[in-house]
Amino acid sequence: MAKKPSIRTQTGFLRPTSSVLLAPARAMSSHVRRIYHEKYQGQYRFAFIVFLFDAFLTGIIVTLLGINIFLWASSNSKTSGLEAEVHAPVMIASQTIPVEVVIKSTDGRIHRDVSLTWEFSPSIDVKAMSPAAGLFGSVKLGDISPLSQAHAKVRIQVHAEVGSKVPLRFRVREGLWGNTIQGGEVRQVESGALYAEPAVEAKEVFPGAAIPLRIKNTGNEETDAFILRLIRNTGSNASFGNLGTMVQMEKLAAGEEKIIGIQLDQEISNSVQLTWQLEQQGRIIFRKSGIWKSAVGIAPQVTVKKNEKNIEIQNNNNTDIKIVGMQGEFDVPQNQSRTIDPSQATIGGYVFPYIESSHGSQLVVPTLLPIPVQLPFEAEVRYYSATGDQLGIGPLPPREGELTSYWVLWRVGPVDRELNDLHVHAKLASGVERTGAFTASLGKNNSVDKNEMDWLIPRLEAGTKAEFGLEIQVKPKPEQVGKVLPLVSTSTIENVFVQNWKNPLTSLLDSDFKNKSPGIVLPRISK
Amino acid sequence: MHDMFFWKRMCASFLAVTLVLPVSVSAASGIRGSPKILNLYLGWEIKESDVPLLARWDMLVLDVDQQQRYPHLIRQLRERNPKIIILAYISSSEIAQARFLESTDFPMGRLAKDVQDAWYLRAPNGNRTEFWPGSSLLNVTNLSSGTGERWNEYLPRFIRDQVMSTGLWDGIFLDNTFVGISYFARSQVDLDRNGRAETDVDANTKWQAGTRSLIHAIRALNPNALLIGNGGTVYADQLNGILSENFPSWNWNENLREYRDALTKNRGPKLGSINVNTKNEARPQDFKRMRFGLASTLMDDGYYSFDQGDWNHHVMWWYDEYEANLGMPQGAAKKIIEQPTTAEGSVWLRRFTKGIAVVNGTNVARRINLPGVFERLRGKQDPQTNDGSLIRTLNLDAQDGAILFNRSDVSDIKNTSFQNGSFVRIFNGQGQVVQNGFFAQREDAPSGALVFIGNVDSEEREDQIYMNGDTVTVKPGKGGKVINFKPFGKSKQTFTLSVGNVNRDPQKEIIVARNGGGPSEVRVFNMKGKLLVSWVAYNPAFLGGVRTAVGDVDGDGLREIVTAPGPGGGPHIKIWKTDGKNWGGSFFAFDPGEVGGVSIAIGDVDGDGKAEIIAGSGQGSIPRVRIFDFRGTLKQEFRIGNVPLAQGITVGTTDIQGDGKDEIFITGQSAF
Repeated sequence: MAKKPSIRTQTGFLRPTSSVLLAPARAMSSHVRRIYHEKYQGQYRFAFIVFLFDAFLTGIIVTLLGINIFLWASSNSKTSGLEAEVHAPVMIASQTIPVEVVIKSTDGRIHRDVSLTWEFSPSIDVKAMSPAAGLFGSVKLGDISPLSQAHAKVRIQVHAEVGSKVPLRFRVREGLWGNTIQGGEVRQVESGALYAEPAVEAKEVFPGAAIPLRIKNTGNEETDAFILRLIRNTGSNASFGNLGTMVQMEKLAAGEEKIIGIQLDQEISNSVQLTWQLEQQGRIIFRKSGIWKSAVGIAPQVTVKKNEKNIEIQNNNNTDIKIVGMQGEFDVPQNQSRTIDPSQATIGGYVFPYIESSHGSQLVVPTLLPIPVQLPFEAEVRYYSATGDQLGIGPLPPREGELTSYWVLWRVGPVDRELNDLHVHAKLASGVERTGAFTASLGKNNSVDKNEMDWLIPRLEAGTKAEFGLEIQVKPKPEQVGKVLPLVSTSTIENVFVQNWKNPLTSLLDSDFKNKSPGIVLPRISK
Repeated sequence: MHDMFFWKRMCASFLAVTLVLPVSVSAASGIRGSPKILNLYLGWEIKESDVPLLARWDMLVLDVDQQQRYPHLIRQLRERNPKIIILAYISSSEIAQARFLESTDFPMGRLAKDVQDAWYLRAPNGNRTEFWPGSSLLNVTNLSSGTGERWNEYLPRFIRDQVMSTGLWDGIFLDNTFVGISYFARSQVDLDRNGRAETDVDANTKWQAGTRSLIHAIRALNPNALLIGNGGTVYADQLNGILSENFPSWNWNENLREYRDALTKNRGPKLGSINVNTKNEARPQDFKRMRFGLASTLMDDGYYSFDQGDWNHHVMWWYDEYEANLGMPQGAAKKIIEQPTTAEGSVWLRRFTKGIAVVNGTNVARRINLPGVFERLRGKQDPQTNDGSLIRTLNLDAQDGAILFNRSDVSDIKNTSFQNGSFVRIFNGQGQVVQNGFFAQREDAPSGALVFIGNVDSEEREDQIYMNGDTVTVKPGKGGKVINFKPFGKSKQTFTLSVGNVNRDPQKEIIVARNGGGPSEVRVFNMKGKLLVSWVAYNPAFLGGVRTAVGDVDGDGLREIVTAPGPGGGPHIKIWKTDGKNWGGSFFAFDPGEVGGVSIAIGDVDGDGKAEIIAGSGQGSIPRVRIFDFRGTLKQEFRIGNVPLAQGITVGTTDIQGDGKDEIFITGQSAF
């Protein structure tokens, strides 16, 4: 039985409308069917499954593409009405550089809740920021009206080589979900505050010679600590002497310089090639290479004598010798001597002689000056470690009649030249005794007596340090209530050449940042 | 031809789709070791989102009807925690009126339909008796009549045919296993329906006998089912466990004795348990009460449940203490302080391999001298108590408990090398400090030496390997000859040491490389110092040395050696087969511009059963750690300081907490 047409179909309006609307879909499905019949049917055993997979994959790809296009279009579809400019001086590596972004309204309306997010590369360290960044790293700039402008300032330090490109980028957002504009520019590092260049323009080196490097801070502010590293050497086994191939350099004040020698082997090839670099925060900020020829003949040498105040350098050769020292260059004419100040000693206590020949300057064997060795020696008592871990146990501050344990640390070095047979000795205060626990990064614990510490370091290499820790415990007596508790009476370090000592240590725990107590013994808790 | 092409195409399509679509990976969960925890999750509803949370419990009791409502969720629970015990809740002597409204698709609906009028427990006047509002008591005694079978005969068959046959359950939680009926029926009872009340003694005796018959029959028909009873300890010898609900119900000392006695009598596996609750008030933050119950439970080997109470056994309260792995118990609990005779209770302490549990059952605060130095938990919920502090005396409130860890020391560092005398800090895979740091100092090895302690020769005892200067020393744990050799000849350089099995023999091998100041050559030796294989990991002109770690990073059962360059090179991590052939994987652990060297370690820090690659930042960098999978995908990153560290940090992994997850230990930051 024929179906009775509905009122709407009787009007004749729906059919043409739906035909028009469905036409693209029909065309598409017709096209798809044709593809199936032409490319799939009869081609595979499971043609329809293959077709469905391909269609599924194509669908996913088209969808993802569509989403990306949509996101891209929506992020670029509107003009934000905000304009941002970066202002920054010339980029100098290892120097603090002020960077400012100025944001203005260009569309005559008020932009609400504008915020800025800095997007710096890993080679940039932020030293200060104004306004300060919030929880998610964005800087709140508030409302920007047509007549006003907002400023975001930051002080950065760039750790990159000269010539490298540094992006200074940021994002500006209006409100929480509003328009975002990205801005910024890429700057080139024009110069660096730190450099390490040979202190002598020598072309040749004798076997066993040292090439003095002058490391200077040419900037107008103190640098952060950095590392000097020798990364390539061909033609000779080279190092910074006992310091190895890496030297941790401390901060350099504005204009300050240091000199250190790259020590070559006694056997070198005809050509010696070296590369060294400076690193800051794990990034290379300076790199340099040099090539030296092997000098022919016997290297002239100087001898050194020390009198009560000064050092005398004797040139017994038939040639004039120039010497690079920390305070500048000086001459020692042939067969003459010259008195110099110990302050001429460079890192490790060396000066660097060289001669002028017809081939140019030739570096000879470095000279070690007999100046006193610095022997840094520290001692401290801790209840908490520097990283906040609890080391001690028991009441803090100590309490009468109850055991409190602490750790005492002695640190030696870093020393500027190798030292042997260092002996560290400490006497604990009355009533304080060792628990038996200790730690030594180097050397041997020879402590026997319960109230003493004995630590022997057979060899401490130049540039290194050693630590020794001892757990002690004390049970305060009634007469110590209300007083600071003495813990270590004396600490001394010595070998045949040097010695140093430290003041007594108490329960004050000056260097223990987590300790909030004054270290004064509390009375016993009454039961 | 077409077939081959078809399958290739299918595989390619599948691969493409799996790469495009997000993949959800469910890691196995569950808490191992002590404390063992129980959740009585008896509400009607379980949400999909509850599954990962519920899977953390060791034992779970669900209403038996959930086998019909959520069988897929029960299976998901087992997938997430293969060791979980899931029990079906069934009352031994009661049926709620609501069950009669259920469809017979549900097991309790079917049971309700089968309940015969003769099975109800009646008063002498013929009225049905009630203990719990809205529920009728059923006569569990052997006097129960009916057509064909008694109630205590029907229920075992029902459990076999309708419950255990589903394969979803490990056993049955049998509620209301009353010692006697006289108290619970709230009236006199007529067990034999003769119109006369039994005396209390007679009724209780018959009730016990009937319950015993019931349990016996359940066991006979369901020999593999675990059985827990809620109620009288008189059935302890027949059951795997007794739940002490509402603990302590009247006297802590006596309840604790009952709990321990029952566990002694229970059949294995013993599943005795304690339920402490907040008396039907929503007080999840009653941490003291929770600790009190937990520490009480830990005085023996039972399971612990803490919830709102018998009106709402349907919460998922979770506590820091639940994740505190105390390890295996070391003997029985001991009473360490007896309360003065004027009061009740006492103080008990039990030792475990990883710590102790202490409970103060008295009604006064106690100061307890501990048998050594212990470390409190580090928790967020009750930070005043769980502050991570080291203590040797414990102030414990009345009716309070404590879980304390042993203080970690160098003996906890196993199967990884460390520098003797260094200060070690312990982090989990999320970068949280999990324990106080300590000095890793062994007196039987030189200070400053690289030390490895572990079973190297596959004999029972631990062996010791250390590298002091240029010399490796191998001390077999079984005794015998100490072997010394110089892997790189006489040298003043420093080296790195790692130990792991690189071939198919049972012994481990020793991997040594220069730690800077030379080419990046990796040398692998056997325990006798024989060179097995060597290769240069990076450009031969690079003189910064190389650091190594060994482990199975791709989960194929074979180990790989992972290398990281020493100072001077970019942070380029490479993965090698143990014979020195390139495995093929490599990635940058940090910004390629960072040239301070990278420290490397391998360990399963997230407990997913796969080893991760852990990279520590090098010289001059802000100290930080990154965790990667073997594809180089960054899984986690954290900083451990804000000041650049001249020498960089050294990372290692070892399972200090014994929870199956490796902790990351870091050296390089001075304690001073």
